[in-house]
Formats: sequence, C-alpha cells, structure tokens
Amino acid sequence: MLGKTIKMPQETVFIKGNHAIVEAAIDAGCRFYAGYPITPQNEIPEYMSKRMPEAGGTFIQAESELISINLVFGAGAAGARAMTTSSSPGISLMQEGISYMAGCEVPGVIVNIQRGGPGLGNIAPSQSDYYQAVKPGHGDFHSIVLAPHNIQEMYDYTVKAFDLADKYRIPVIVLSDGLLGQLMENITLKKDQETEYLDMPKDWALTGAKGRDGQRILSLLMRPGALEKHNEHLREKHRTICDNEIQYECFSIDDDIDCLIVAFGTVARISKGVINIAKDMRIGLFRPITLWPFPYMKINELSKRVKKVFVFEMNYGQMLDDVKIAVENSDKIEFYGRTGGGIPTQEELYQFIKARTKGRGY
Amino acid sequence: MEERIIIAGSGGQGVQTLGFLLAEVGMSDKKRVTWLPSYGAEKRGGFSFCHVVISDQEIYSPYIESPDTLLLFDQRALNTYKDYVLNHTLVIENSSLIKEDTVVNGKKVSIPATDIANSILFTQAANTVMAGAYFALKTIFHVENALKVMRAVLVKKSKQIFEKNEKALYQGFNFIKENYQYV
Repeated sequence: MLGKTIKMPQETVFIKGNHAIVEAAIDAGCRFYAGYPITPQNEIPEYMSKRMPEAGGTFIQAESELISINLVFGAGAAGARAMTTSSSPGISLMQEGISYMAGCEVPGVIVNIQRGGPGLGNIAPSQSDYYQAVKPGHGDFHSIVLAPHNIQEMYDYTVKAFDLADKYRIPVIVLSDGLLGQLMENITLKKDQETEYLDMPKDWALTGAKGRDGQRILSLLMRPGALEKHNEHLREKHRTICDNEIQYECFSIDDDIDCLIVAFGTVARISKGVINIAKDMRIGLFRPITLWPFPYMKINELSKRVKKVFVFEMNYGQMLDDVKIAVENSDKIEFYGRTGGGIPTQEELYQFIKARTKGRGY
Repeated sequence: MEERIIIAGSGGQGVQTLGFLLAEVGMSDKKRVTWLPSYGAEKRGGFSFCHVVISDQEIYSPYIESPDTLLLFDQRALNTYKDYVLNHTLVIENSSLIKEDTVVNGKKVSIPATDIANSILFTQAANTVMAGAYFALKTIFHVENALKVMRAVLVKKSKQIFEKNEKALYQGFNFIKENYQYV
C-alpha cells in the first residue's frame, strides 16, 4: 500500500515525487532508462523497472552511474528519448558523460534527487548541487536545468525536459531533492497530452546507414579551428535558449512590496508559507524555475523596486552568486542557508527576515 | 481549512500507513494533501514519523513545525515531539506504551490503542484504533470516509484483515465518544 500510486477519477493521483518522474517519462515517450540505486531516488528505478517494460521500453540496472549515463548517451545518439536518474554522489560520477553528450549534441534527461554532501554526505534533502547542475562537466557548455517545487511540477517539468532536450539537442537536468522525491501529493496526470517535439525528425541520429551516407556523432574535433567553430555554434544555441526558455514564478509580487525572496525548489515552497504567515510585511517571492538559463533580467528589474532581497537556499549560498550578478546594489542582499540535510522552517525564515529588517518588514 | 498532522512512533506500528490513510481520506474529501515520510535507515523498531497536511488551498511547506494534531505511539515519540505541542495542538497519545506523560500544553487525549488492538487479537491495528480516535475528535472528516478508503485498499488483500481493522477503527472512535465528551 505504501508509496503505491492510486489512480482516482479525473486522472488525479496521489503519488510520490519519485514515481511522478517515472510516469512523466513514460508519458513523454521515454523508452530507454538506465540507472543505479542510491537513496533518496531508489523509488525511480524500482518503479521504472515495472513501468518501462509495460510501456514496451528498455530498463537497465547498470553496474554503475558511469555506465548509466553512457547508456543514455548511446540511446540518445540512436534517436531514443532516454533518461537516467541518481542522487548527488551518483550525479558527480556522470559529469564526464554529460559533457560528452553536450559536445555531441545528444539529447537526454538527467534527474538529480539531491542529498546532503560533500562526499557520501547523508540521505537528507539538500540543494547543494546547484553549481554542478548549472555548470556540469568540463568544457564550454551549459545544460538546461529545471527546478520543480511540488509534485505536479516534478511531473510537468520532467515531460518538458524531454521536449527541450530534443528541441535543442542538449542534456537537460531536472534538479530536485530528497524531500520532493519522497513527498506524496495529489496531482493531475496529462495522459493524453501531445508533447510538442515527440515526433520531430532526428536526421542526425545513428539509425543505420542503409539508403544514405554514413554519419558520425563525436566530440573529438582535432582539426585546427574546428572545435572553436563548434563551440561558437554551441554558444549561439545557448543564446537562443536564453532568449526563449527562461521560466519563473512570481508569487505575491505586487507594486507595494518592500522585500523580495528569491528561492527555488523546496525552499521556494517554504518561502510561500513564510509570506503566508508574515501578514505584517509586504513580501513577494521570485522563484526561478529554469536555473539555467537564469532569469537575471527579471530579478534585476524586481530588485530595483524593493529595499531588501532575501536569498534562501538549502546550501551555503550557490544561487546567491547568480542573484548577486542580477542585483545591481548587492548591499540589498541578505542570505540564509541551511546545509547538510537541514531544512529551514517557515518560522526560522520569518524570524530571519524580521531580524534583518529590524521588524519593519523591509 | 488546513490541518497539519505529525504522527510518530516506531517502525512496524503503522505510523506511515496511518499517515497515508489520513491523506487518502483528505483526498476523498477533495482536499489537497501532502504526505512526507521519514526515510532514514529505518527498520522495525527504529524511530519513524510522518508529516501529513490536508488543506483547501495550495499547500506551501509540507514540513511541519507547528502541528495542529500530534499522534504519538510510544514514549520515544512523546519525548521527541513534546516540545512541538502548542496551545491549540490536539495530542492523541497511545497510553498503552506511554508511561511518563510530560506534555504540558495542548489538548491531550489518551487512548490505550495497543491494548484495544490486542483485545481484538490484532496488535498491528493499533494505528487504526488511533485513526478511530482521530476521526472522533476531528469532525471535519467523517469516519465513514476512512472506512471507505480502508475497504478499497484492504479488501483486495484480505477480507479478514479489513474486518479486524473496521472493528479497530470503531473501537477507537467509540472509546473517545465515551470517555471524552467535551474535548
């Protein structure tokens, strides 16, 4: 009974975050999954091992995370919608593969259900892989990073991740955490949805050369100037993504706010609760949904209207750096972070805001 | 309406299952629900808790620091959560396994849930007895809805287990009705 998805009328289900990712992948047309066990994402491969064969796809429990990401690399190169999932230490092991996929422009989805670090750390929720997600691997590239903050979004943004990956031929990371992975919530599944780029032709894919010239996918470009040209091409692609794919949520932001909270994922959810209890203050929440591309311009614009910008994270200040780039007057910024699996409470954040605004609410 | 519930006890007592049941009952009433389990290296006998939120609106933090209701299964649970009790908090204690009650605030209710479960020869149903007590005290939910959810989940497994749980649910419910008329 525990942790099992129970289907209700109107496609509403009471579902665990990790299971929502599996349902989303299947609904998005993902037919190849490779993964290796690690808490707190184990429900994903466990449930996927049942759902993927039902959907006629391939499930592989690989012998390591290195193999997982390279299997996804191979499946993606052959044109399949492919996914791997892991938690922080496992994602560290995948960095080389993500870089190769980006270099080769092979699409794929990587889900990180973050836990405490560094090292093996612990299995409690954390957001300390922000830096690694927005700039993974080696070399000049970015991957798109989506940060859901509830279970509906775990589903919706995993579906979207597959579309973005195919549209731009880029690895897409869904950055979640142990709390959202383990949390159950009622959500609406969109079983009948058409994903926008599901059937887009992949004429670059390695599907066998019968009836056409052979083609290759590689990231080793040794000819003088070839790599620079390739990286220029990647940069143009990155610019297009920055122009078109930035997503965020403005919560309780009106003309009179004195304070702005910037937070993503789980902490954004808790911050909404803070705004709900801080009736004596005029606070709004800005929640980046794409962590790359990061909504610098919007934060810049909003920061001019407020007296304080609070950055809350479950780490020691990683997104904080991006907010500092966005906000012209960094004296306005106040940071509060918990680390090593600590979850900030509503009350804790509320008291921090009060202390830093001397109780005036700004 | 927002109801924030913490359930705590030991692995094997049905703490997570009870949380799941309450969430399902909330859902059957068209509410939004969240259920957050403890997921450390728990095993039978280890400390186990879960946070359940049931609400008419978007649920912000699923992590609870000020509970409306605390369901405490044993002494360790009480010792861990006694400082979370606020004046408005309803505390339902399993008095079969709580000998030293140090909770000072809140509205306290004691029910010998494990003894009641043993009396129907099904010690695992202590959580269902606690559920019965909860539904007797929180009239925003109907005990019949709990029965419906239990039927949907349990009958497939075993009719006998469902019937024992049904008995446990109503014994918990009636115990409160008989002993705590004015809570």
